[in-house]
Amino acid sequence: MDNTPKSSHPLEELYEILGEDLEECTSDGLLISENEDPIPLTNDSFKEIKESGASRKIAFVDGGDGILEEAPNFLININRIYFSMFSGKKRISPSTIKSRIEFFSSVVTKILKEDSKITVTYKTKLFPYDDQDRKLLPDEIDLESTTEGATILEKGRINSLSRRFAEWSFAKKIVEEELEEGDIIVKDGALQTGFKNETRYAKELYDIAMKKGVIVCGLAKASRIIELDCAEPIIAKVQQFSKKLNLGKWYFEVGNLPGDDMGFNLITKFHQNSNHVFRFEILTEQYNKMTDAERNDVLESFANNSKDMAIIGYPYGFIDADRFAQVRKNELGMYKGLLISQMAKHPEWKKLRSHSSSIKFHDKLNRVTS
Amino acid sequence: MDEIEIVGQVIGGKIGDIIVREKSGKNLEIGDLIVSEEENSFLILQAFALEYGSQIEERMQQMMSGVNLEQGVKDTEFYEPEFVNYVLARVKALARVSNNDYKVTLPKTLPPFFNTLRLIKKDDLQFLKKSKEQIFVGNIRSGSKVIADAEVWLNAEDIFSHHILIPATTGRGKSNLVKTILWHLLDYNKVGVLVLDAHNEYYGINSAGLKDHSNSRQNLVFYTPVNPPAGSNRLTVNLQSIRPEHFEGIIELPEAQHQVLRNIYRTHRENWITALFTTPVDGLTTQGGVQEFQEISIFVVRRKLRLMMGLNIDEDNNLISNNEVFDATTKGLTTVNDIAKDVEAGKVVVLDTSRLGDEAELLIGNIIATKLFEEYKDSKAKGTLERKPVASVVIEEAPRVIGEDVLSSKNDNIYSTIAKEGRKFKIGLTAITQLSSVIPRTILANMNTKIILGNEMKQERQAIIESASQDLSEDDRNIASLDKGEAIISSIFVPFAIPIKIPLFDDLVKRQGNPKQNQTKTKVF
Repeated sequence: MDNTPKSSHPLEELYEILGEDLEECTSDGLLISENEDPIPLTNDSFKEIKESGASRKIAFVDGGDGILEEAPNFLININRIYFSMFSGKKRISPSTIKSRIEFFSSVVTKILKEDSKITVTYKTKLFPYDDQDRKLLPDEIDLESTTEGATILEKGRINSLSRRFAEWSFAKKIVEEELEEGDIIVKDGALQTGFKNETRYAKELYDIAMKKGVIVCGLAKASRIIELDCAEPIIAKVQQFSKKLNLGKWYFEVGNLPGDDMGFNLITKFHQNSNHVFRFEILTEQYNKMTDAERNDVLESFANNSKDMAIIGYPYGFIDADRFAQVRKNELGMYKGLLISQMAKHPEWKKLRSHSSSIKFHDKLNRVTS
Repeated sequence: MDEIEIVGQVIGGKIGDIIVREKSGKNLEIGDLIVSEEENSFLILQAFALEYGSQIEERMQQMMSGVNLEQGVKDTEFYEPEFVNYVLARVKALARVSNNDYKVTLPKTLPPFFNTLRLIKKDDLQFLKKSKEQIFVGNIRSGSKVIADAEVWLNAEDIFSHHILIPATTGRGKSNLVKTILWHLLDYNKVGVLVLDAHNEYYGINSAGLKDHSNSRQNLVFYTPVNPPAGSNRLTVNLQSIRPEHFEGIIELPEAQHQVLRNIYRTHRENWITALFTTPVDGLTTQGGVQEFQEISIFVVRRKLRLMMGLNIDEDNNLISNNEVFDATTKGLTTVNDIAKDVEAGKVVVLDTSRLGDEAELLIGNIIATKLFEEYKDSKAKGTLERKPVASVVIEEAPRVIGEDVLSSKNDNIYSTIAKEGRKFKIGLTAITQLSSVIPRTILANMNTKIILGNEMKQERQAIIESASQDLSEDDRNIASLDKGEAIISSIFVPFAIPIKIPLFDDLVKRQGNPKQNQTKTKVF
């Protein structure tokens, strides 16, 4: 065994090896799907977002959630969905729908045994503050998920289930009640679905939007999509290439990604002085029918909402939406307190706590060691 | 509630320090009076501090500013600045007013969370009622905004018998305030006041002054050493009116020298000062063949009195006074009695002491105040005090007579005696000062009405705050930011510390000639 002390910091070594492991990518295209040709990365692939004076009405939709109590067999969440509308930098007040809905959700795990076959079912129930809000929320039956065998559903997916569905149903209502032809609705995140039934909710939104002529978009703050040639993040590669060009605001067409993504993917930069580029989607069916001028108008409308000094190049509507949709840590404390007070009123529910304790030891340990 | 009126919303805090988010553009000020309307009552709140609030983290703000200042990025701006960045006002509850009977109580609860707030209006002050014999001190003020028609009137007998302190630095409107108060005292005969006017600014010889009041002929008496205007008097005090105790607390005299004065007075009675100067020294030092004092003591007291009162001996060994006020002959024999009688008749007596030195001015005041105090004390003993009006002595630069150093190094004087005991004899002190901190706390606490004007000196503000009748612990900035003519009244006779704007005296005088403007609209305490 070599006992010679290391001269360098382990992180220095880590970086050296990581640098060697990460491939130097020299290709001049983006390979997105193994079944298709790479998308050429040339000057012509970038389109400038031109000043057209367009400031279409945009409805920004975002959601937030937080866990109040959890155990391997149940979960209690607080969920919040928010939307706001802007035309350029001007806020537009909703005419009929409230800006924010808040509801609790519980997910209970049930085991079903049939002919020695075990399935795990996740039943979700929703509890809005205002019963009138139920019409903005998804049907509980649609939130049911099932997995086979003793495998339980990934925690992160169950946590966000109710919120994700509610975002779709809320967005649909916004299109119905608040938007007109030519207006835009944009969701925080991709136009991708991941749950059984979620696609149906997404489709209901797309159908009503297309019927009314409202453009459906999605903006992802982070993207894990890599190109398949040398595993480089496509956003980074496009951004790197764009630096060679003398463009202010631009977009780069990526197209449809494999899977159930209904959006036409773009990589966009909304402000000349911004360091941020985003994965941006427009419902494929709508994008394909648009003229270049219409596409420019849609993107220019976002650019005109992305001049706030707080984060130059990021639509202000999403800053606003995040501000109101986010469930903050201190809020969680308050809701947890309310939950505990309910438990105190119903001593029989103490069993829920005993279930929770099976996964809470880590928190306790943290309080001792942190 | 009308949307336009809303100035903020309660968003947190605690009793005594409630946090309010200001509605953009409303520009709340320190001292603003704000109302929280509740179910059966409303709460009057006052802003005592303002600070910035933002939805953006501080480091991010610094970065944004850096981008703006250093890089000058074009085509960017602050979106919804009024929504993201705002002002937080810290307010305290002053009073709760019942909607039914306008009864005022001290607030013991917080306003409802998220309650919207509006600025105070005249109608909110209906609980204030005016009765007879009150004096006007100013209009209610919210920040720097004067509430039209909401006037503050205080019961003159109450506040003057319980002593008044007017603390302020130069140029904040002290003289204007005192003139305003005295002006309204001339309306009635319920309070007699002796004013030692060191700057000859109250009577108004050459400008607007108390002489312009319609009752001045009956209720105002003016004494000045030279060229008294028609209807006023020459201020001459005969040396015979002076007694040795009048020097106590005014000039520094060791016990031996006091003893000299007392002995000579015992022998020569009212002619003692003449005797002190005209009798040969050895005739004064010995009595009955026994040497009572050192010659040096005689020389020292002669020198001190000569300097103070301008006394000299002429060639014929007659005592003469070069001072315009003190007289060694036969003039001014009744002045002290006359002044005391006028004060006892509820009149305002203004003595122009602008030509006198500090000590001589205080001596004059001492002589008259002592006389007054004796008269009132005597009345109490005889059971006739109730029939007398309240009397007050107005003294400027009050620490000269009630300062900590004066009271510890010299004997008590009549001013400190009045401050300590005067209340039970219906005599009060109205002390004006720039330096409240040098007045002993026991005296400050006894001054039950404080009309606080602006003061930049923290130490002075602290002394005032600590001795106020209401909790002003959060009002330090508020007092520091008081502009000329703005004041806060803290008194046991008002339900909360009231911010006021004192009117310009000249306007009061002009208004007198216009009966319409002279009508009292709002009422107060």
